[in-house]
Amino acid sequence: MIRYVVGRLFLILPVLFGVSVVVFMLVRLIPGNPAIAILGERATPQLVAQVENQLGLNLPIWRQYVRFLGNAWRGDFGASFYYQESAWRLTLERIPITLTLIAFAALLGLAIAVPFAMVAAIRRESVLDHAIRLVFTGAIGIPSFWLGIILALVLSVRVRLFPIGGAGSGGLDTLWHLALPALTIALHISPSLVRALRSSLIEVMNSDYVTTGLAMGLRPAMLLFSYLLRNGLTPLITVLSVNTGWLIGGTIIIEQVFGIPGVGSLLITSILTRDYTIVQFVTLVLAVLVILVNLMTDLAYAALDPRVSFQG
Amino acid sequence: MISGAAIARGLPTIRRFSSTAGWPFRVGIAGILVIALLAALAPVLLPYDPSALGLAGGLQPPSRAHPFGTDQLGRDILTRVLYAARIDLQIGTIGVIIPLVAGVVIGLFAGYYGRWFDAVVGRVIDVVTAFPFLVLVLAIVAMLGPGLRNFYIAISLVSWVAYARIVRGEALSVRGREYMLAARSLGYSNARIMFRHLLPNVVAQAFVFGMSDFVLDILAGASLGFFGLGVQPPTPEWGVMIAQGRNFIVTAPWVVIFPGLAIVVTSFFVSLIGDGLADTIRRVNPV
Repeated sequence: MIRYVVGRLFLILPVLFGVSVVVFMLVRLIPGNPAIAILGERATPQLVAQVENQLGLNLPIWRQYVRFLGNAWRGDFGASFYYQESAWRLTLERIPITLTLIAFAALLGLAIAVPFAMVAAIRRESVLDHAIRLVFTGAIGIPSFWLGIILALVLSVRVRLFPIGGAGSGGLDTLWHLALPALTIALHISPSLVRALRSSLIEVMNSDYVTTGLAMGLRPAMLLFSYLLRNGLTPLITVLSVNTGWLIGGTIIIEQVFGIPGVGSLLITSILTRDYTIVQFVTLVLAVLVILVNLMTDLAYAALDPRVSFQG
Repeated sequence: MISGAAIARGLPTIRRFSSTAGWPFRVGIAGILVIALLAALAPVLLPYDPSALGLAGGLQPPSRAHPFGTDQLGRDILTRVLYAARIDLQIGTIGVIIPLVAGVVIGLFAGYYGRWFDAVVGRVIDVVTAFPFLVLVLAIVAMLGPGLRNFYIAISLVSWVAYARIVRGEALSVRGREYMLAARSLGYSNARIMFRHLLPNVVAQAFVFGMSDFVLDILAGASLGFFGLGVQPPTPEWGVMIAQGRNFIVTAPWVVIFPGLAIVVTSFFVSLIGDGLADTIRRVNPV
């Protein structure tokens, strides 16, 4: 087990290296002189020289990268020109609310997807199965920002069931404020959750222990439910981890739509204000988040299923 | 292994295909054709100019003269939705074709030649897939600047990876099959083996993914438009229309509802095509 964990941790290193290169190269995509682009209207020859110096733009590219890594090692990812604050602090203080929203949305997404996927898998190829698949096929193309606006109009403005936006004042009030955004994201990811869960459940239906169970007269729903629960929720973990990117993408958009002060709305605001340092750092943070989720998924597999760590 | 040779004779044409594919495929194709036709014929079908400001005033509810109502500037929303279809269908098409071609070729080379090239491609795939799709696209557009051209560049840089991964995996799995060995023992050139024998057998899954990618691109393009980073107003684009109508949604919800429905309906038809393709492939070539 320990050997598996260590081996898995080592596998992250090349990916992290690659991610750092991509994030470093991002700023080099800026057409023209990045220093002028970053300063915008404030650009004076002295300031441009100062920023060039700060970013090391005069150095050869590999030395710029080494410098970028060195700074990153010390936790220095530059500062926001817009907020006049360090990228690290600006982003980290917004992470808790974003993670809360992601977790909330993931739970709601599963709550929506599991019953539908189970019905579709049990009544496979029935009218009900086809109807569920058709509805969720239609739901794939619902733009999350549009859905958010419509839900806010109906449930917050017309019915006044939910607050309109913002993150509330902490604790339960925050959860209350996050309910509608989380529901929007959950509906946004539910089609791919249903799809993936349905096919994984159908695979289970064809396995020997289900056949035995059915032969013994157990109900299919009970069998599937015990599979979901007893096998340590592995299928749910898989389905969620595969959709992490989709989930994060939805969260970014929805944060901006509902005015939630998280990492996602920071990213959009920074893009609009050309706050390149922040865009760069948030991109890095979100990629690291995906890597960590994948790592935790693999470790969870290994913990739940001893065969994984033996196969290595 | 029923169909190596059958598929190798070339991908079925849409007509031959649709006779074997189920109704979802046919409905999907028909739906997209109708939308494309309406978009192309919009100037003939509708009396309005998409950017002409209405003299009658803005935010009129749906009526016989304006079935989808008018927006805050008095422009006919149905007209704008149809003109926007041109842009959004283009986003889907270009957003699929460039990455599909690049990804398939790179994946094919990696899967066929293996060795160092495959190792490099494999690592690049790992790295790019570590980024959430939308985040990397947004980040690249942030650097290059807003606009449709830069969106295409961003999509091309990010999406090819998914196709390369699919084709590489498929190519690796068929590399040792008999027909590949046969082609090699007949002394065919690598290029001939790769493109005449390997490609037709591995490309199907890439096309299936291409359909969901089409939806993904439309959604991404509309999201960027919504945030002011994609197509720039006054050009009609569904995401841009939703963004502009947002401030009037309480009094005039139709301004937001119809462009959104256009995205949902278009994506639905494209997804049906994808499902139909996937079903047919499963039936023709069961694993």
